[in-house]
Amino acid sequence: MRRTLFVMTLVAAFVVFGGANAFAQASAPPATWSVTDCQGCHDKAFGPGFSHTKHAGLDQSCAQCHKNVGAHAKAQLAGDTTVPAPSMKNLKATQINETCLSCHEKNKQSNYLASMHARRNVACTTCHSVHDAKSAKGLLKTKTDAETCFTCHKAERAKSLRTSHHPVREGKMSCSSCHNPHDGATPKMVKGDSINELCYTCHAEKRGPFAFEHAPVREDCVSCHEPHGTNHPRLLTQKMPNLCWNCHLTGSGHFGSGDNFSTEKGVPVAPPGAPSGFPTVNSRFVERSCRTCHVKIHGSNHPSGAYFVR
Amino acid sequence: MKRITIVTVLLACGFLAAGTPLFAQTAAPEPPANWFTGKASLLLLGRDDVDSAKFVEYREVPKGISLPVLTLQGGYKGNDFGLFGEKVAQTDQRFSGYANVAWFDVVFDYNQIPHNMSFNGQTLFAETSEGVWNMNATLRKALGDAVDAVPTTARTYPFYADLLAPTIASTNSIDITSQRNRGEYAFEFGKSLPFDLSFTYMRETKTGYRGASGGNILGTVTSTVDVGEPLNETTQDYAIRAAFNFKYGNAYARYNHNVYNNQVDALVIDNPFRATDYPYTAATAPGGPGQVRFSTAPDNAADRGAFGAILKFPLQTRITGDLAFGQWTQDEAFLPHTINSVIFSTTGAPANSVSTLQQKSLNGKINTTSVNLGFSSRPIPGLGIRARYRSYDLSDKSSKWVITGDVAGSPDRSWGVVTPAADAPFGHATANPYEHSTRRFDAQVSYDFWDLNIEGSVHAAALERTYREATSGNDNGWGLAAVYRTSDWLRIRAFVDGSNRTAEGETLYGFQMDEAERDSTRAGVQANITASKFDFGLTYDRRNDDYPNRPDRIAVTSGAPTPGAKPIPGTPSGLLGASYDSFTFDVGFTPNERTEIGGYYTYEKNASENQWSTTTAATATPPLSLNNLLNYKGTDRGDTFGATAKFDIVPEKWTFSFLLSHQKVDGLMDITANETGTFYNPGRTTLIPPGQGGAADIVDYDDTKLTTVVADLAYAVAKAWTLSFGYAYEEYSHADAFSDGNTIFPQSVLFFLKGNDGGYKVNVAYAKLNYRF
Repeated sequence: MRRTLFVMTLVAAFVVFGGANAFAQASAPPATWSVTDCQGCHDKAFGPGFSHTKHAGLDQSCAQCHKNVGAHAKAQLAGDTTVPAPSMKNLKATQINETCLSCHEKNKQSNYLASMHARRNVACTTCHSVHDAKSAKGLLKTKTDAETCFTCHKAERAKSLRTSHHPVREGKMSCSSCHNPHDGATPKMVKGDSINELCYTCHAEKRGPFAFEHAPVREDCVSCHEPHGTNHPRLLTQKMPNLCWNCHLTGSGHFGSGDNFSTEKGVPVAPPGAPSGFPTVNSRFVERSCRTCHVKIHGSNHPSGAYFVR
Repeated sequence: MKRITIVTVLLACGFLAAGTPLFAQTAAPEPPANWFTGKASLLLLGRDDVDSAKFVEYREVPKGISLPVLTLQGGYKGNDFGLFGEKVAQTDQRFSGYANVAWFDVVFDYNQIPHNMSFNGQTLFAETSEGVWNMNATLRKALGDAVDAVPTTARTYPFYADLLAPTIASTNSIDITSQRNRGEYAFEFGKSLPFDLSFTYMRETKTGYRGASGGNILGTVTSTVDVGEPLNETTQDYAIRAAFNFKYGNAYARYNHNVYNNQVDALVIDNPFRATDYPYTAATAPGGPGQVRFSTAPDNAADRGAFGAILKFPLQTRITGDLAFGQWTQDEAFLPHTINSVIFSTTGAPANSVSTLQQKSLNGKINTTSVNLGFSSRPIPGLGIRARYRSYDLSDKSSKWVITGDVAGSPDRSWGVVTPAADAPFGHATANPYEHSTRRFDAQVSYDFWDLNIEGSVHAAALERTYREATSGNDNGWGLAAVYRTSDWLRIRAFVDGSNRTAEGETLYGFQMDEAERDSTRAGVQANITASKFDFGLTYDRRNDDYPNRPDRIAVTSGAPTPGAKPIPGTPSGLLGASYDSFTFDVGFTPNERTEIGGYYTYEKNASENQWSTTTAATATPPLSLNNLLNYKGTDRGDTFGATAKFDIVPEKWTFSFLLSHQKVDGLMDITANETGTFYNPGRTTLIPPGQGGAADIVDYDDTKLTTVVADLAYAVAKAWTLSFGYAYEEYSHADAFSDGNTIFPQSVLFFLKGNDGGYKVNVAYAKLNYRF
């Protein structure tokens, strides 16, 4: 009897202390969950794309991001289907973002909550996949960040195929070369204090300052260029000379004399013996157009470069 | 008793053992001590020869064997590393990687980008040294003498064509290509410090030719020549960043120094019609230089310092602020005014000497200041509020001087006296130190109505400029947006916003387009529906800019309004409006785990409208300006199709994938004008009769077609090996009324390189072996 009581006490002690430890654990921060705990049921979530990432090595691993993992596990074992699964798919964008930003709200992501993406309820998991990333960097759902961006930004996808383009579709640049998709401070999320300063990171030869400045160039590169892609040379928004005629309405030289009138679609050269006035293509329209002579259109540092021809 | 004891204990232990995985404490598993994974691909490719540079504009497509992919990742005793190589040993190769060791991390990216802009251009010149293009002096003298020997009226295009035929037949070939190599390296030391600390270094070199360049050469023959613009540049950037992360936010400071160096100081080109410098004395004796010299981009540098912080409070409340100061400097020694030895200033000093320069260099300096302040919060469930203030100032502190003379007006022919004017106090308007500043405030309030989020926003900006017609203005606007999402099957986003930019200042001719009054509206809607195995998407975007109150034309004499002239009603000029519309339909079909099919169609339309008129209105009936009003509507319409498919024919064994992309852009310059109006070039004495030219639409307005098809069949030979076979086809065409059909000498006396960057068709077949471990 005494021995039986002793054994029962011992068993009870194991159960109580073991269980108490678990209950105590349950009320403490969820430090008990590791990859192996969840892998038995969720093996697909632990492929090579996840297991070698920093997320897999976190102290709390799954429970770091997925709330109520313990309740879910208990319910599954008990066959209780009423307890909601801790899937991120069931959460709103603001809840998902709060989870990710609990660790990642610094550096380039520090201002995400004020960003246009956050304002449009874009969740971190819209673009990123912790478990099944396809990209080499950034844990994106697609192989390149351009593919991710193009899932929403359709117009830019079409523009990237235009004949004059930045080398995005060749894989030499990406949307994130110019934009920080997490930024909430700068217009259009550009990675620079201004559009021009962003452009100068690759086109430093345009920075100057120059002895002679082309005013709209100094103010904003997109006055003349469309960086996502156009059908006109050099990423121009319009073909020359029409682009220049947006601003240059009059003045001395060839703009005051009607020289920019002649838009005839005629022959390049009048045939021999043609009468005076035979319609020919105006020289202002041929090949480099205005830039045939005004070669330093972004600014000239030549002491006699006031008209950007030197 | 023993039996009971043993059974009881065993049961207890069994129970505990069963419960242990769920209820017992376990430590987080240690990652494997060492692990390695990698991938390598070997490609054997054959393709058609292609003459056009467009096919390889930013890439290399090598025939034969190549190594398109080489990656290696691993962990060793707690240190991680990764190396990712693409297109190894090709001109477009790229290597990136990282290493995380005990006390620091390093990330790098080395990227080579070829720029093949045109092949087999033709030039009269030979590049004898970097940036110097020469032509045989004897030939140049002979050509000049032949021109001098005939009267002006005989110098027609047929005359020049005959004279230059032998020279054109023996032109030199030139490829306009360049190479940009860029490496970025970041070292982070935060692991061993109580704060983040990183150093970043970037180096980029550009070599080759930037593009077709050159320019006009005034003289007895006013010609324009095309050569390759030399490119030999290095840019380096050094940066340090420190950040301190604490419970309620983070703070950072950053400094970077950027240096641009151009090894080529000038572009020098011989005059095809002059071997020596001739003085300009009058229009009948226009002279001309034996050579012309163009400046290149000067060396410059930029420094930027910034610091900022973000404070975090409950309810997703954030307060952010950052401040940045920048300074751009440039002090390269000026070239002399001209390379022509027979031009002298009004004081008799040779204009080709640095002694004639009023200032030896610009001592250029531009300061920038940027401030960003932000607040965002979700104070109660469903409510979001945000506010931002942003200012950006650019001020030009360069050492400007009042220009008294130069050779700008008659390049390389004669000295011109320069007189300051009210809008050009330094002599030329382009010498003004243009400065601008922007102050912008915007605020948004949003609320969640169950699955619908509605946001309203306003913005207000103040613009200030110096030395421009519109010295100030505002840009104020509003916005409305809605996002609706029900579970995973329906998502809708829509927005509309409008803004109005004003312009205040003094102007003779009206404000330039980039500073003029403007009304902008943007709207867009995007809907995504997921239904069973299908995904559908519809997207529409629109941007419209109207420029109201464009200036009516006014009679001008010597570049200024004619005294007493009034604007001519009904002749608004310049850019009147621009718009962009885009519509996209996407569809995806995933019937099972082995099949994925997708496709899309996008329609785009770019449109702009310009107007111009002569200024000789006055008394003619009908007024000549209205008679000569030209309206230009430039448009391009794009149709883009895309399709992808992937079939696991035999799972984990045979996979077939397919890609199709097609884009057609149809441009048009629609010109409306009165054909009986004046469409004359200076010197033409008769009007163009109706039906014989005059204003005509330009239909080949940079029209393009690009079609790409790729089909790939992959076979998993073994667990780590995959063999794939593929075929690709690509076709590109381009039509430009301004350039197509031109020879290198299309008009008097213009010479162009006419390199090949046009259409092509190419078939490609390949076999690829992948190894993954």
